Amino acid sequence: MTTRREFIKQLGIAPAALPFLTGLPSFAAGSGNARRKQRLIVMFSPNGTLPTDFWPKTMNGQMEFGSILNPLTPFKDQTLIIKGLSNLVKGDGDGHMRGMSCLLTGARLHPGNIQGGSHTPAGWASSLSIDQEIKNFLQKNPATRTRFGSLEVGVAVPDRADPWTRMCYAGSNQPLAPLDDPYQMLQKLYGQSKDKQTYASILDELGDDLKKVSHGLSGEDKELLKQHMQLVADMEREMKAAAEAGKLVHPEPELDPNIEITNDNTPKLARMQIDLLVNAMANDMTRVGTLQFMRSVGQARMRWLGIEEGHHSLSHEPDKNKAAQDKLKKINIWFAQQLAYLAGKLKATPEPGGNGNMLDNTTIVWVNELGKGNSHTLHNIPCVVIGGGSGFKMNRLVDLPKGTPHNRFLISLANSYGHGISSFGEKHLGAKGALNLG
Amino acid sequence: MHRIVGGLCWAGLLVVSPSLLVADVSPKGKAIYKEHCASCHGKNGEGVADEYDEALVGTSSIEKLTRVIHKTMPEDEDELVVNDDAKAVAQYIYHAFYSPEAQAKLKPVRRALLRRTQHQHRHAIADLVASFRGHSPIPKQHGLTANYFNAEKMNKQKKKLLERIDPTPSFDLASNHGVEKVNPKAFSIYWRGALLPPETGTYHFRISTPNGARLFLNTYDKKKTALIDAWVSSKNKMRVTEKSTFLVGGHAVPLMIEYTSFQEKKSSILIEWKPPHGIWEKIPQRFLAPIHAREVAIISTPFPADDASLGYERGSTISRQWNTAAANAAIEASSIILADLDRLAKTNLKDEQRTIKLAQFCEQFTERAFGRPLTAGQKQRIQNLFKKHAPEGASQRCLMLALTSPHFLYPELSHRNHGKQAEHDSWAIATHLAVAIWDSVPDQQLRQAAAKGHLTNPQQIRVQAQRMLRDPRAHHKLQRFFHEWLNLSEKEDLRKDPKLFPGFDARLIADLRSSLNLFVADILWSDHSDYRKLFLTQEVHMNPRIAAFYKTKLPEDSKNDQFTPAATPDRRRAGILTHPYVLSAFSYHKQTSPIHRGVYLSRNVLGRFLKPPPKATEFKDSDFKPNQTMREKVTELTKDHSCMACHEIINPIGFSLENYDAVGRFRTREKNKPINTESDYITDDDRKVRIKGPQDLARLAVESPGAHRAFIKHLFHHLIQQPAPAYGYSTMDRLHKSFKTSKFNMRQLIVEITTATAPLPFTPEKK
Repeated sequence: MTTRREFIKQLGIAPAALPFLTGLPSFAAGSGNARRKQRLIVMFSPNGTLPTDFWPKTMNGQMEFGSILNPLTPFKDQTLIIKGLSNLVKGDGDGHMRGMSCLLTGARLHPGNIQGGSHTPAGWASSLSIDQEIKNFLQKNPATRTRFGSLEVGVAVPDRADPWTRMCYAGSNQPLAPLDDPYQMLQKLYGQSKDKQTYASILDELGDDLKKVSHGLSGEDKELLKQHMQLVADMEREMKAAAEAGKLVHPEPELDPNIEITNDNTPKLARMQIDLLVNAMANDMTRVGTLQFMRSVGQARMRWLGIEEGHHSLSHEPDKNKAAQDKLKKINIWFAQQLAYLAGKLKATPEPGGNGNMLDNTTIVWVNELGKGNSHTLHNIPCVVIGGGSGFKMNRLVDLPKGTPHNRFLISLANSYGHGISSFGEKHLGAKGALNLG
Repeated sequence: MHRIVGGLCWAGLLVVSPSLLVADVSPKGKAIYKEHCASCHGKNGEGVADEYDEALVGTSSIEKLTRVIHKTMPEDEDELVVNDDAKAVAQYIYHAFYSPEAQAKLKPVRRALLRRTQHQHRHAIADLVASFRGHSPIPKQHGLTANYFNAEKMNKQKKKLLERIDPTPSFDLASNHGVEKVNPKAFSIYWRGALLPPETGTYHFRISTPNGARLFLNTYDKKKTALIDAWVSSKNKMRVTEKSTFLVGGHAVPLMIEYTSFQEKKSSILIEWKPPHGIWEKIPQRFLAPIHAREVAIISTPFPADDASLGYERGSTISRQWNTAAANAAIEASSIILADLDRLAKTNLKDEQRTIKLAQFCEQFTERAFGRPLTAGQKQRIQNLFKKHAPEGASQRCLMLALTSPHFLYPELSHRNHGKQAEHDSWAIATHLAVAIWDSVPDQQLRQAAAKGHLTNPQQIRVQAQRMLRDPRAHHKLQRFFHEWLNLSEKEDLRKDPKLFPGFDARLIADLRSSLNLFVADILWSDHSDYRKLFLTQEVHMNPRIAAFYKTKLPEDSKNDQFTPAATPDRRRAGILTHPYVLSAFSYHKQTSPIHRGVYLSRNVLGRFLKPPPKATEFKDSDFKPNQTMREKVTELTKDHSCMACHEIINPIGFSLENYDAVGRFRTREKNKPINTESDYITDDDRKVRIKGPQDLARLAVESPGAHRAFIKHLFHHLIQQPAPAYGYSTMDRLHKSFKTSKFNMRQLIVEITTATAPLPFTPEKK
């Protein structure tokens, strides 16, 4: 069990270091810019999938979901499935490491000291990941710039930093840690204002205390306390004014304060994190987000699905082990349900200051580090795209020639944000340029 | 001549006779003063504009005043007031307004209501949380516990090779450091213990390694975020990873380092820090301890500087910035506590009694913050908050309220009953002791003694004070005292002209600072704690770098992070007076400054009263001939009568140290002329003494009552933050007497100051 709500320390500058009121962010809605707010969310789940149950079939030109993707049915007309992508990045690191740390970077790992179950030891990725590439592009332009630029959200990610736990990179040797504690996330997004609101609520009583103790004091001592009372009264007044001026378009979600960061609470924690991510996007604090479930080689014990074994161990079981296959199916359906919850939440939220709903302007990409768990293949890695953010042609299965480098998809993704790169990651893997997904 | 004290001819002064001292203000003198003096000096010596506008205030004796009046007053009619009349006037003005005692009576000093200073604020919050979490044990040895393992693939602790105490965490496979059977392809090291931060401020840490390492600070919980995470290597290349963090002096924090090398050619790790005022270096062994430390609630909120207009920091003023800082500190503290709330309140989410226990915790926390049992009304408010809000929200509000309450911010207020009447009870005394000795809140032992009412007489207070002095928090507070007394807190940059003083670099300066700290600490915490040794010690604490620069021999096996007392070849040093750090601090960029040395030592160490200079005079080296010695320059610069009123005190002190150059090295010649360090010095009791060098100065500091009283006064201010006369005019006399009786035991003096100022149920004033 991890400690609950480990607070602001690791979030960089302690909010307390900032001036009291100027630290309050302005949450007011954007100036109604004509261009639509394109967003990106990359969701990751680990340890490969079950190809037969995962890949849809096309019947009479119509895509039909199998059991794993079934929860996504409500969003089918906004869903694109891309089959045939391969992570062809070679070099150091076992399949899981490269599967994870080359997934969004498309580039080799540095040689290093982290040893997996096989292959050579490796270090961090050698260049930045696509979410950060797109974030940097959006942050460069004042019209698309946001307070955070990107949010790295985790669910049940163990607190250790190695190439199995990191898929986002700000650059060579610069992994970005996902934040997997919703309380810390709430603190990061709204903490300063929330604590200060709470503080404001006690100022009245504080004034009474000062009045009481100043009673009977004389001369300079009384003056000192009078001055103190005045300062407290000023602060109360200023905070009320600031609270009025800084009202949120979408008020922050109320979190149940009592959910421990434990394996068994993962379903609740996942909901909280998704709520916070969607909320942050609704308030335009960020337009790029990643949602990382567990980690590559993750051993989550999904007791909430009636499964006692660790996920990674199960994923090694051979195809003929029916019981294991059933469990893995359940696990992957659960991930699809999380994706459905995310998409549903976006769909249910009207686009702030625009038309339609948030899903119409968001691209969700669901990925996995392996094509199949028990073979550790990096071919046919799952790729599900949902939402109207990209402008890709949806409601279909694109069956690419086998072994299409996934770098090409990463290029397409960047292009869909108006970022016209022609190469990403390892150069030769993206030599053929973007995929034709329009 | 205008100035009554200035411009005297010093030759042939008589020795003071005690029989001349008269206690009563002379009516005859008063009448003469009114007739002949008041028109220029004002009715009460306050001065008259366009005549003589400086107030008649000073430390000269009645005899000296008599002579001045006899010879020079009134101006241009100096025969009018002579002999007995002059004496009568001198007696009158001395007792009516001239002497410090008279001034003290004219402007009675009061004990001001004080809030916690920023130091006190940080210590108090750290200790409040520690009162629930536990304090770290006091270290008995230094270094870190080190465990060495051979690794195998993902198992970093396959085979334990060795456990030992390492002086500092670092390792190089090439030189191995005596670890046998290391598998060079796969091994790991774990260091664990505590870091003992000597000062409050920002500390920088860096790890240099071509392999993998993590450094955890203020936690042993690997699930928490490491301060430095350099676990993943990259091409076996040397990487330097740096992070900084805020620490509170005197509060040991957990330190844990994990290191691994796996299938890499080069294997080494170097861990360095840069403490406040320090430089990058391996963490010296004395700041590490192989103990299990507790997490500390560190408040890093910046505070505005505290009022130091009286020459010492105290919480006598408040401002908008301070109010904001206090709010931010309360918010920071409450989030630290909330993150660990259930553990601190000894409950958990499944506990049916959780809400009750949280409310109890808040009550206890508030009680400890206020330093006394809560009133029924205060308890009721906590209960009300728990009725109104969810347990977490209620707890957060309670904590914020406690930490911004006037009962916490102004430690004394909690013990006042409706403002006026102080509740002179054990609780008030416990708070007084905690603030005076630790800058903090009472610990468990003080609280227990207070609850039993066992803090009501001086003996009980002394016993507690002596106990408290053994704590690292007292060590930290007193180290700060010496920095303030030695005026070092203002001297941040000691660097000199590198061409003139090659080798006097940042590293050496940091070494000298450590040397001075260790010198002072060794004396203060020794059995006799003898103030006189601060001046009578020839040896300087040296490491090999200092020894090389000051041409002193040290034993060959000496190490740079160990300091050994050693005498420099000149064998004339006199403790702090000639410590190179002090001498350098009071020097110019290219040369010595007898004026700076003299002013500082006469004021802070010898306790002389110096008025501000009558005119601002800048020392400009270009104004002098290039072959003039510093003594010649200063003599010329200050030769004016109006200057000499004070420079007759300042210059002899400064000149006596001229054998030490701007970086404290011994020399006998300057500008190819022999250095003359001798002068006549007039003591505060009007004796003329010959000062030849630092030993004579040391004798003055050791023997002169003025010097003793200066030391007592500075220490008093640092501990109590109030002027001593606010506790009765005789307070200083009594402390001085007990200081002498104790053979100048500084620790005993601290105990006496704390006792003399304790809010005892009887008045501490004794006629």
